[in-house]
Amino acid sequence: MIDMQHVCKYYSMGDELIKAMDDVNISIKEHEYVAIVGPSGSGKSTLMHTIGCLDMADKGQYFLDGMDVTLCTGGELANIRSKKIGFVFQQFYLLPQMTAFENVEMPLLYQHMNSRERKRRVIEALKCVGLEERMHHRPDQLSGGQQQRVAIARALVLRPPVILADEPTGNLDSRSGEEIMELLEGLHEQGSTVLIITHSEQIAERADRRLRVSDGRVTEDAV
Amino acid sequence: MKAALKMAFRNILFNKMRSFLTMLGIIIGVTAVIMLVSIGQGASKSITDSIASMGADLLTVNITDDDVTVTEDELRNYINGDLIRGIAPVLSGSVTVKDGTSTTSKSIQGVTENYADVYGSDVQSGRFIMDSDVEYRTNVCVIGTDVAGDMFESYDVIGKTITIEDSVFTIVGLLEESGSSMYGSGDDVILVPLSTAKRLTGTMDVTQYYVAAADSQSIQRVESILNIALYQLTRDEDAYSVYNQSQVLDTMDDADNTVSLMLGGIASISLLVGGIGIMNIMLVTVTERTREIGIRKAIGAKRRHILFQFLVEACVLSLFGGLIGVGLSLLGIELYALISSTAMTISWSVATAALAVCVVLGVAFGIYPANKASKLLPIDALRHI
Repeated sequence: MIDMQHVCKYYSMGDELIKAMDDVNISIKEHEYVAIVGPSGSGKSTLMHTIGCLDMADKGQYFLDGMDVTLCTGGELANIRSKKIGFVFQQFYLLPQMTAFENVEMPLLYQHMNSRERKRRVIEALKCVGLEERMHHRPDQLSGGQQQRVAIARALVLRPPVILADEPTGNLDSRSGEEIMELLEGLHEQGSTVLIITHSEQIAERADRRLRVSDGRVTEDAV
Repeated sequence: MKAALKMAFRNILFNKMRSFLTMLGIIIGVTAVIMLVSIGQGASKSITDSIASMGADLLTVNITDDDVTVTEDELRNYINGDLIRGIAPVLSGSVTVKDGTSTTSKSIQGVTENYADVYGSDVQSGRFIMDSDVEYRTNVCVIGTDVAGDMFESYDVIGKTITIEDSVFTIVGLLEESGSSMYGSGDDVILVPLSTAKRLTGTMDVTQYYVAAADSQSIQRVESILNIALYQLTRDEDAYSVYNQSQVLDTMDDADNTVSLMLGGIASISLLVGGIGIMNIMLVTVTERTREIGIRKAIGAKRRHILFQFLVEACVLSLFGGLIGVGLSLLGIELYALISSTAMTISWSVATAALAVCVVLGVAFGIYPANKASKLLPIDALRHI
């Protein structure tokens, strides 16, 4: 599903060259449940953004579902993001002016889909995260855990094969965090490839496979 | 498309204060442009109308030298009767007019029967001065609506009397309203028979003639004939003057256009300032919403989606503001017309232009920052604080 070969990403900060990714080689198959672990500044976020096609690698090749993403244009990348990947962010990244329903509906608006089909899919996704009775609430009327569940519903509404979660429990109390983890693990059991980026060993332990990142390199690949 | 419009309205409503402030700039700009230009055009229209009502085929002869006398018959000798419709002598003078208790100084004009035809004025009730009035030097007068309003507070004045220089005059006619012009009100007049005026003012010499040309083609010939005649009669170029009404009309038109242009210019500046306001708010809005753009891109929005969204929002915002501005100026013009009691109509061409300008400004200034933001890598837009 995900195949990275010799991927590099450099930032220059003043005179200093920061190697956010330095010759990264990763291969993740379908239906895997992988945790990418590392302290902050290790380059794990850059890795995640590159996997998610939010950012472009400077060097190397990245095949997502067999296609070389490094050769794609902006519009093609947008297509890939919507079809292949569902994002869950630490800060939820919901739009405050919209209800839960509208937030989940948003990815569908950028596809060609009639409104009845959209409604059916949004309600299905919200049911999946147990929030269908709160779909007309705005984010500020929801708790952190509920907001993150809305974000997960938004990530899975287009049924992408890969779910990318960047510190999904980072802004939540432990009980809501546990709920979110169970949701994500449920998605894995239903057949999704789930990648979780975290600095927490506890969360990493739950995954089937752990990729440890430090200084832009994958230092450990443990099952 | 429907979804984009819905989204635009939601975003505008979500930030009511900011949307209102953005629109305020457009509202003020559009209102100012439409109102100032409409008022300018209305004013110039009323001036040209009142001049045109005198007739574009009208020539005015003024005898400016007191020592010179030119009689109507002397003038007639020089002009072929086919070229003119009539010559109306006018004797102007200042007199005291008494009505009941108050005494005021007013100007009167001594005229003959053909003044009505030559000058193009008519009575709305009663009758005009007649040749028999002139012959018998009767004490009758025809008054304008302003005089009627001032003295009697009603237009029902036929048969009533006023006292001019201690003589009692019967009002026999009330003139049609002619409206005010730059020269003052055309309705503040008292017309008496020419012979009566000579007695009242103690002068024998007519100082002004209105000469109506037979048609507008012959007016220039009549004008040159008059100039030659007057020179031969007076032998002094400075003793008389001949005005052509259409010349006056042209001059007035020029002046009005200048005024309209100036008002329009001032208003355009305020529209421009409004436009800069839109640009400023749009820049802030888009910068503020860079993260939103990032989120939208992360979940699959393409560049054109982002651009389209901001385009629709800018359009809705500026069109809405512009329409409010048009509405306000309609209201303002009604109010102005009511206060100044002049007929005034909105200039729809200017309204359309102002609306178009503010939409173009809103869209241009909204699209520029949106385009910049839509080009960002999604991750850079997301990281934006």
